[in-house]
Amino acid sequence: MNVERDIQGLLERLERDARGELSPGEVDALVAEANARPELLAGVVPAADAFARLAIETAAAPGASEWDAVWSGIERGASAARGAALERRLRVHPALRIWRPLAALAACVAFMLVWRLSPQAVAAPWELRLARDAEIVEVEVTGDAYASLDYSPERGDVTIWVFDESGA
Amino acid sequence: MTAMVLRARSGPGRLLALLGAALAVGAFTESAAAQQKAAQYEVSVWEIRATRDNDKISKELRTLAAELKKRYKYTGYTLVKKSAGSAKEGGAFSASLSGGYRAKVTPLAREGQRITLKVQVAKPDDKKAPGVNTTFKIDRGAVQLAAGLGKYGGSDDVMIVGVSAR
Repeated sequence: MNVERDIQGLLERLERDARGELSPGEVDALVAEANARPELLAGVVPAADAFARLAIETAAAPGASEWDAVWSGIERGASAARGAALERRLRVHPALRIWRPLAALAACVAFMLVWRLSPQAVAAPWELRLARDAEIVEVEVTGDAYASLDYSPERGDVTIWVFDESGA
Repeated sequence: MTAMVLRARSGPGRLLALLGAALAVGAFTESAAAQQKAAQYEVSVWEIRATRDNDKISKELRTLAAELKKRYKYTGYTLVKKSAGSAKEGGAFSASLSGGYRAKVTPLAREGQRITLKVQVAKPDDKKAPGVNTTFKIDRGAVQLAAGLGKYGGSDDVMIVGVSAR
């Protein structure tokens, strides 16, 4: 294929202002060739003007494929932006979900510490120690029983014993 | 005087007045609570099972059991139950014990570190069952024992009831 002759043919058709006869592929080939070799248009002034109009029209009006590319780019960008936003939300949400319960928990812990360490809360544990110097004011038994007081002089405590008279 | 009152009703003066009132109310409430607390007693009732069949001693009873083992024939002392609660002066704290027994503890008076308690241990459903009705004066927090009340399932084990208040 003789590219130059084909281009010349295209230029001649352009010179005759027969742009309507050019297919989109021929227009693309002509534009590419003219951009690569501008000298082709040097001797054909009407063709150069026609080409300039053609180039402007070609540049000003993107083709369907370009629009498809543009829209797909927009969609890709939007999809990426949505993904990034979702990722940001996922990054932020757990922190937000955790931060408030943690703060509440910390407040509870602080409250418990204050409560546990307050003077009334640190009362001594109730140790089991026998009463010394106990004063028994009165003892009365009920049922079939009798009582005996077992007093320990050295320790000072007294145990009240209740015995079943029936021996059961 | 009017000007002073008017000044006190606005700005920092008003804030200070409110703070003073709050402190006064707080002090009054605290004082009332302290008075109410003074009339309240913490009461504890320990049910101890004494046996000759073993020498097991509950952790809580180690000190007490060491003394009791020297004096009585029983070798094992088990804490069956500890009941604790509060009672006002003249009011009663009741605790249920094994075998249908109940203990009723009534704080009667407090003199310094000494507390007078009225204690009734009885089996309400069985009037013939041994029971005791006693009044004694002990140190705050010390334990007075009443022993021999009831048997456990026909064994020779006996119930010892310890009572304390503070």
